[in-house]
Amino acid sequence: MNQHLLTIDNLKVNFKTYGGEVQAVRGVSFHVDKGETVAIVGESGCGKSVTAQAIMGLIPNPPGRIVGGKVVFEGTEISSLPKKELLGIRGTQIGMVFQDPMTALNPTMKVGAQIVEGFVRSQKVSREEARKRAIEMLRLVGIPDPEQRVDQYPHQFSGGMRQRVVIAIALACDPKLVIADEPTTALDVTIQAQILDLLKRLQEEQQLSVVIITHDLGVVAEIAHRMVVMYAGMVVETGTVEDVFANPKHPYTWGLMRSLPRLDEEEKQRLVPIEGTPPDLFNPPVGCAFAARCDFAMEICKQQMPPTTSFGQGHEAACWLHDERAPRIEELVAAGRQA
Amino acid sequence: MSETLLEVRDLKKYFSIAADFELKAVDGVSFSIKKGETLGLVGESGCGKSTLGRTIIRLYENTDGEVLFKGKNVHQLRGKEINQFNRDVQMIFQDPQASLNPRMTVEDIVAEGLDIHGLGRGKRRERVAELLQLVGLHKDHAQRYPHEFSGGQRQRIGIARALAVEPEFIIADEPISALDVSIQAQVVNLLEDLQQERGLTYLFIAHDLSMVKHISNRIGVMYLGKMVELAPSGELYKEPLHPYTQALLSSVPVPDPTIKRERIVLQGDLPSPANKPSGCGFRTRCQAATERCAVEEPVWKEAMPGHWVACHLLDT
Repeated sequence: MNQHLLTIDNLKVNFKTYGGEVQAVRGVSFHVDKGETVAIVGESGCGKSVTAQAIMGLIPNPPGRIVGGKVVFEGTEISSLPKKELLGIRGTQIGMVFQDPMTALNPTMKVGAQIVEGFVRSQKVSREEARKRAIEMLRLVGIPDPEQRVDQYPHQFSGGMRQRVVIAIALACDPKLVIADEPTTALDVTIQAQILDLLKRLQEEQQLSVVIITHDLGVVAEIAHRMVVMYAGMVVETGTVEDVFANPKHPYTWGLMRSLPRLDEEEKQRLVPIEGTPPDLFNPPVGCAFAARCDFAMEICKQQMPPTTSFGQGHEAACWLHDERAPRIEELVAAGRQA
Repeated sequence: MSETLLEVRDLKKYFSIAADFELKAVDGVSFSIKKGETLGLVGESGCGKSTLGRTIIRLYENTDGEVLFKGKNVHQLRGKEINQFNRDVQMIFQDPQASLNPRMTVEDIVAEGLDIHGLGRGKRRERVAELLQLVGLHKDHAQRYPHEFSGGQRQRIGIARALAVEPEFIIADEPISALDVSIQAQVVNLLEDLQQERGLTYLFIAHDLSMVKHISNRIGVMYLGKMVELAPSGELYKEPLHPYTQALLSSVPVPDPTIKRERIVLQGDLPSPANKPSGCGFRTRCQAATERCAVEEPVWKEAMPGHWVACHLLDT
């Protein structure tokens, strides 16, 4: 695994609006290896979906544009490829699963035709072969009676079934990488459990790499190997799921974990919210974007961007608290959490 | 916590969706809420939990059964009694974007109830300022419009509006689902503080089980228009009796990678409420379903003290 399947290097994306230019993504770097699931976590507006769109070359331009950095897929820089060549990768090498299965499907097309649309274009197969492929894909994602279902329209499917179809579309061309943008957010919990199991099974069987975007830490713990925590267009912490959950290093990650109620809490404990709201990305703060909401903010946090500190095994966090001159408050926090 | 504030008896709400066809959105639900208590209501989309809330507050007429608030049947209130009921019972809606009129200032939104009930005469502005501070907003926010606020702040405006008429009972229909995780905790804490300060009673409708368990004293689980289980929240989590509750609890992803659980993954989808299975509504997805479940509808009964459930499996 010397070469990463996907590398995002210092990606920056801006959007022009009437109110000025929004810096939606402000220097994001991470990588995805073969056969691994990476979760991007963050609140709405933190730039996680824009990052996914940038990987797929789906940033609407105008108003959006990539103003810096690059996306490298299997050694090729795809962020600067002409559209024609990008089409050869998008949909065949990289598949995408969208959040809302109601709007991701074309209501006037049979699901079978939608599943193999990309497959037919890239493989130049006959009609019968395409139909066979569509049935095979429906079976793969666990839809009963695929022979009948293949000729039905999206409105004849329930929400969970539609999301299975969307996954089938993403997988139809045997991609190496699947990007799933909030794939279960629109679904009920019992259906979410089905879809997560499906994604996990497919990922293991097909040795897929998956980038899953979510705001639900439960989903992350359930299916991801590594996680990337984003805040205000930047990565604040990254590491294996085990490391980040057991030993979070950034105050924002601490806050996220503490603000969740636990189903297994014995006695009722007061929730600890993160006070305040995320910053305005028209005019992002000069220093650390989280400083205004951080309980441990120091003078320097407001003046300079924090450096990234590494804790081994790919666990990194961007926070001044890990500078050697900073007070060692981590022990205090750890003690406070246990008390 | 002894006095019963609200009692729902065999409540039904059907919608006519065709000349000869009725959708049974709420089909015979009974429960009661004590003063100062929080009752959580969970279930998947389409299970009728929102319809139940809206029927209790008289946004919908009931088809059958009754809702007693302080002993009075709310669907038969007349004249002044309706006014009083509307003051006593308030609602917080799911989408703070859609439930605030974009053309009204925050002051007018919050004071609308005061105006209707003639409560704010002469001190309207002070009342609004007080309410805004109570929910953690600034009194200078009163002259702004909803679009100038974030989602969490808008939900606070919705809460201030509900509190303006000094209600005793608040129905919160998914009040935090549209908010980010870090903001959800802010709003939940606010609701809990207000409950303590003012002795409020809540009906908290949501699909997020962990949040419902956190805020509720008791939880009711709904499936296809019926209540399938109702128990104190700790007990429901430790000892769920209905197979649907068991599956629902095990489907919630736990934010802890070290816990590897055996999950009960339900097969299939929620049947359409317009075309319910015979007998027990859950039998099509239930692993333990027997022939009896298809023929006979399970009765709603008290399996343990304070723990109600409707399932044939417990008749042994």
